[in-house]
Amino acid sequence: MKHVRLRSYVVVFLALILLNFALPRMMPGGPIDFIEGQDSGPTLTKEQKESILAYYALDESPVTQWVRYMKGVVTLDFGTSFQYRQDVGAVIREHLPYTLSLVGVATLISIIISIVFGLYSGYQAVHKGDRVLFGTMLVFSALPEFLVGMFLLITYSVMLPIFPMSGAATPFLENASLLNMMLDRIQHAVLPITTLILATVPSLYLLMRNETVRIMQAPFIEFAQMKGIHTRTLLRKHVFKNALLPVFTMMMLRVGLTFTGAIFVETLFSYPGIGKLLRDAIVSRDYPLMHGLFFLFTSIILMINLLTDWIYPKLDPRIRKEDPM
Amino acid sequence: MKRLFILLGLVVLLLQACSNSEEQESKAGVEQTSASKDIVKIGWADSGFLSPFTFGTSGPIGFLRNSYLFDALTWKDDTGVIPWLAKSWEVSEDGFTYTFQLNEANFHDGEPLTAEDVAFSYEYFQKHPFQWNVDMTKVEKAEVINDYEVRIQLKEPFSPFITEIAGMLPIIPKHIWSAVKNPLEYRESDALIGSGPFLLKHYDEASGHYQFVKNESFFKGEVVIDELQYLNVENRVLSLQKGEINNGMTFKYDDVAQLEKEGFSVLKSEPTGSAVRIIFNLDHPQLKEKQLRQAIAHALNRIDMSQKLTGSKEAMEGSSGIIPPDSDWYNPNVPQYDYDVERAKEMLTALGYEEKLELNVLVSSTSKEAELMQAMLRDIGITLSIQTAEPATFAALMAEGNFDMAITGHIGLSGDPDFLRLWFSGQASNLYAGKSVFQHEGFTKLAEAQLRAQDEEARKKLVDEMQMILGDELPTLVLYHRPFYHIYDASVFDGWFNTKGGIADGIPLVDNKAAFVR
Repeated sequence: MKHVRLRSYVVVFLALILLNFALPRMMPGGPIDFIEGQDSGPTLTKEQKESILAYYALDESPVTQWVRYMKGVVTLDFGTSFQYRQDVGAVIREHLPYTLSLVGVATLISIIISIVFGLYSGYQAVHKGDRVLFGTMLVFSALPEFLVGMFLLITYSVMLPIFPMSGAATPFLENASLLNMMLDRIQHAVLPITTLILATVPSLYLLMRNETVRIMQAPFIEFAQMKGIHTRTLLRKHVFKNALLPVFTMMMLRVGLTFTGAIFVETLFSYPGIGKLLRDAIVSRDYPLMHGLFFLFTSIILMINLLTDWIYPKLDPRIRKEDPM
Repeated sequence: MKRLFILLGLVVLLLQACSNSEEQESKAGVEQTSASKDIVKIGWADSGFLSPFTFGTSGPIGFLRNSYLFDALTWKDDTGVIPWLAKSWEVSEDGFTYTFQLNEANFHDGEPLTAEDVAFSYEYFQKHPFQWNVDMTKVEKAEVINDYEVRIQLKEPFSPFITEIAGMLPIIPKHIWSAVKNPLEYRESDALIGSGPFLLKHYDEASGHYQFVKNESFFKGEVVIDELQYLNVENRVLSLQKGEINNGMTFKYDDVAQLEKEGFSVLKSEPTGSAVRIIFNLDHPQLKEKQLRQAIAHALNRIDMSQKLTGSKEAMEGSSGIIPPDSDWYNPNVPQYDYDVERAKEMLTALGYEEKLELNVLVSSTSKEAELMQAMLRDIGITLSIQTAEPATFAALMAEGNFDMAITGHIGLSGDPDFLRLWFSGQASNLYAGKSVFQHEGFTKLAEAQLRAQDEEARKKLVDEMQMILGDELPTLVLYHRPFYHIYDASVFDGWFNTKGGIADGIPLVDNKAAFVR
């Protein structure tokens, strides 16, 4: 059983690696076209064009290019980025920490908020009603994240200049203490993180709330209440534990989505993470960089799924019995 | 539960605290720096690592930033071509040989810049092409005469040599690059050692910000500012208003008017040096008729278009000979196509288009020009559909000849007129060198002849004739010449000027290193 599942992961991974090579090349135009398609770009002479093609090994046959690519996948060396003229690994390493911190913090805060609010809201729904919170979250779940992001940007950065408009830090802060530099970075991250949180929380919250409402009606809760267990203990020990399963699955799915959501948020706030990098790589037809980034995204999302599959039975003894892995 | 709320509350408090303390910090920072240092901050996008072999070519800024670090033999300022690394030069009668006498300059690492370095650079760039518009195939060889004299031999006479090659090709240190086999991959810090007025202190790769500091021992004179920063901001107008930058460029006249009210100074690019134009597919079954192209020209109210799109009354209607009216090379006798709907209709009828004609126009981003064209062409019975494509797709479609008309924007029109040859000959690989190269024997001959003309006046005559042919044939129709507006805070730096004919090959920006040298 375990082997079957692992094997399916390997198959998916291999298929993705093939797509990763083919898809960028199937887009119309190549890196040279990008240079030529620029308004106010240079006029390339034939020699310049040929030297670029030769340098990036784009004059080779597709098969040779594919072999080179596969070697790259195995050795994790995707070559030189066309646009940055630098090793793809180095470019990604430069940008990855920004995205990891955005996504990490946003995911963590989102999970806490949605679980706490979901539990609270579900409990209230059964007893007194939770229209305000429920309604607000419903509204937010319907709003696309770019709208939320733009609203935040215009309100808190343009109209009320509390937060900076773009970037991850004030450029060239000299003579600033370590603490001030840290605070500067936090300040730059507030709006992008808030946008990601607002995009993530509603769905998790709604699920948590529904689960809470469902479990609250179960006989064992009634029994627990009759035993006189304190509300907080009841929610934490009985409701939360039972609601955790579907919420956990959703949470893991959201982490993947948050990564892709970061592409938009980083573009909007000019945040120098890999999301913005991917967008630029696609526009400029930077094949090696696209290979590296897609590989990274694929690996992250597959890893998360694998992790979910692995943790799930540990959370639910019933699955462990049915599916003896 | 309660604990969690307290935790959240604490986070909020912390954030508030940091936003307050940060504000104080940055205020203090500004006061401190303005008291001690002159820092010019310009808003512009990233252009990568600035070595002469790696800078980005999306727009001219990579070249300009490279020119802060490296010098060429000649340069331009508001008066035209000026001596730079070369103190003087002579051209042989046949136009094959240029002899340069050099100034005594040093590289940033203290090594002297000599004729050896010049000759080495000219040879090195023949093997490893420069990133920006320098056609090294014209150069035969470079010879050292003595330490401060160098002779450059051409393969054929090339009249724009002084601006298009000597005025652009950076002189790189032989003692560093002679050991470099693969310059595209060379990213050591000494790859940025030139002789220019600035040194690059820091390049923030992730964010695309640059911090240049002045070269204390620049050969040409004193550098008047301490620091020059290029910041990759998302919106230049907002960043100007927030004081994040103190120089930013825009095309939008509305923004200009608003910021002028707020106390900013404005410098409009003159000559404009820029054009928004329609490229016709000359292999298209209908558009290959020049009468149809002319009818379209009559049907478009280009004055109205330029006023609407730039928001300014001063905007210039495009010249049909491509070279803008404010350039020295402009030919005032070129046939122009006034807005005349009746005339356009008559021409269409004469061509036999009783039925409706359907055409498409390719644009690379949301183009208001195309929308206005759509409305104007409807008046003469042409249905125009707009096809939007991002840059790479756009160029690919053009190269395949898979379009009827396309709208592009260009700079460099006020520089040397040799660009007319490059655009239309198909020799240079650019947007125009797709399948629809302008096949016109007379034009090709003139284009070749102007390259060999040594006498400016003779060359001007040839270029005039080239414009006449372009004006009549209309392989492309310039809609309007688009001015660049540089908005800046004059209290920080007020030395900006317009370069005569544009920087180097006609770049109509103010980012000229000569502005910072006294």
